[in-house]
Amino acid sequence: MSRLTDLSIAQQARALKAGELSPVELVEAHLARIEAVDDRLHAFILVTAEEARAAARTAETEIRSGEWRGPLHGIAIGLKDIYATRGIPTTGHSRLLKDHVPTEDAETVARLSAAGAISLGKLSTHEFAFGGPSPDLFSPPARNPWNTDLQPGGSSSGSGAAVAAGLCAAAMGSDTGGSIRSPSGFCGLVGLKPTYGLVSRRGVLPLSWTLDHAGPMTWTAEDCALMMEALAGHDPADPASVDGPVPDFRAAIGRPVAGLRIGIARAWHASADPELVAAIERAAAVLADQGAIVEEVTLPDIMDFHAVGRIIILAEGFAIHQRHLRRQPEIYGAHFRDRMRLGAFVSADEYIRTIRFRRTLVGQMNEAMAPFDAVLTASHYGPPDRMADAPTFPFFGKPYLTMPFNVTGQPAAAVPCGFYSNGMPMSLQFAAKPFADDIVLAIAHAYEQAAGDRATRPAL
Amino acid sequence: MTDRSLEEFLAQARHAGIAFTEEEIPRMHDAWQRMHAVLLSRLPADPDLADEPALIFHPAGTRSAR
Repeated sequence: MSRLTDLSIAQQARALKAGELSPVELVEAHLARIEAVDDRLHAFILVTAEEARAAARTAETEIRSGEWRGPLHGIAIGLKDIYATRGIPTTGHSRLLKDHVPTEDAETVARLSAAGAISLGKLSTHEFAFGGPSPDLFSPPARNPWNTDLQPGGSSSGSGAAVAAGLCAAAMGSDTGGSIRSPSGFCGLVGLKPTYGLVSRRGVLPLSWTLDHAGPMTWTAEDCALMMEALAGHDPADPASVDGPVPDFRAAIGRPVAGLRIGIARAWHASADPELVAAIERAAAVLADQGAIVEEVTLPDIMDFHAVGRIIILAEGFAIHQRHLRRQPEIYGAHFRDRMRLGAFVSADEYIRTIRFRRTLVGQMNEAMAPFDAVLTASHYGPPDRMADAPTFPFFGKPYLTMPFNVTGQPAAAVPCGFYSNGMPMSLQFAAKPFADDIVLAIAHAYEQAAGDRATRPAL
Repeated sequence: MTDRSLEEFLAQARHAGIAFTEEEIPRMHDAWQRMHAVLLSRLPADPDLADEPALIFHPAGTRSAR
């Protein structure tokens, strides 16, 4: 690892605090990296270089005068372009909002700024976090830095590409059915979908109110914990924000996993690529070697979670976009337009039956997970598809391995677990009980320290 | 794909205020059928009248209204 931009947040923070590295130098390194490679990745929709440089100078002055804000002070981040940024366009990667400039930062943006993080700009996303890698938007879709012919996953596609390529040290994503964990998995990152309500969604363009989650995407589990320290906690202005204790993320890093009971949900990922199935078994063995008690767990039918989540997204998403889908559907990209119009056909009765079924599934999951502290499965079934192979309705195929934890609201993280023989990252998924986000990251960190490869970056 | 099914699909689209082009109709009709077959078909049968409420409202001043 020779580039400054390949260092983790924790590594950069130690150097910044010690005065061995300046925020100005760090931001310039990331901006140079963007200049060098982003024409091939299209991770950024908008790079706010001058704003970043100004913030870096401020951070440098503060740190030199002893005003250390914490481990995110001077760290370069990117924001999925659904996060409101005051004075800076927030487009949802859609022509509909191409000229939309918020007057206020999203709550999470404000918290990261208060922690000293420096935004480098707005990142590519599937249109309104739903539309797939569309070629018909106002700027190109993001590509996978490990192989630019392949998709980076989505919908937080630019976030995944940017962090993996070292364009920024961390990025904010959002996750309604897997949109943090999918790109994290395909790009070799740690991506946490926190417990529903733990991280404010105020100022984040919505896709589905009862399924949307805001969360971080980082190179390491420790970096995820550092981001969550700044992000988590009650926001009185977000009606879905939970007012309660926040997990101790700092203490999670380095916490032993001995004695933790981890259920491996083999039935869910049995049809995954054999290389990935084998990698998950190896990961289970690594954790067992550290004293975790790993046993098989039988979770409810994943297809039921998939159906419930997908119906809710269609119904709620259509309700959000119905005015424009009725009056000017051509303003959307083809993928978003076709997908979201299906929501018009979900009746009120069907939506309410889905909500009822959701509660049943939550109860079944609670019962299945009762003996366990966490579960282990895959984040996806295999390597990503080619950019050109983006079906309009992928959700009529295999059930998304990520969706169950959106339906239940419990925390879940994608964690790298090696590489396929074709060089693409493999990814597993840990999930825990509601508000046990610290346990997810503790397990992820323990696994990563024992077996993870955080030295290999895309060869860009 | 039957004509009746297509007729029902188009009627629902009109009712929802959604206008499809001629080019869009076949693939959106197919998607609508798949939505029923793959997703909506998994919903449990209609509950009884006396089943527990599906939705709960909390008046302002108590818990958050949902």
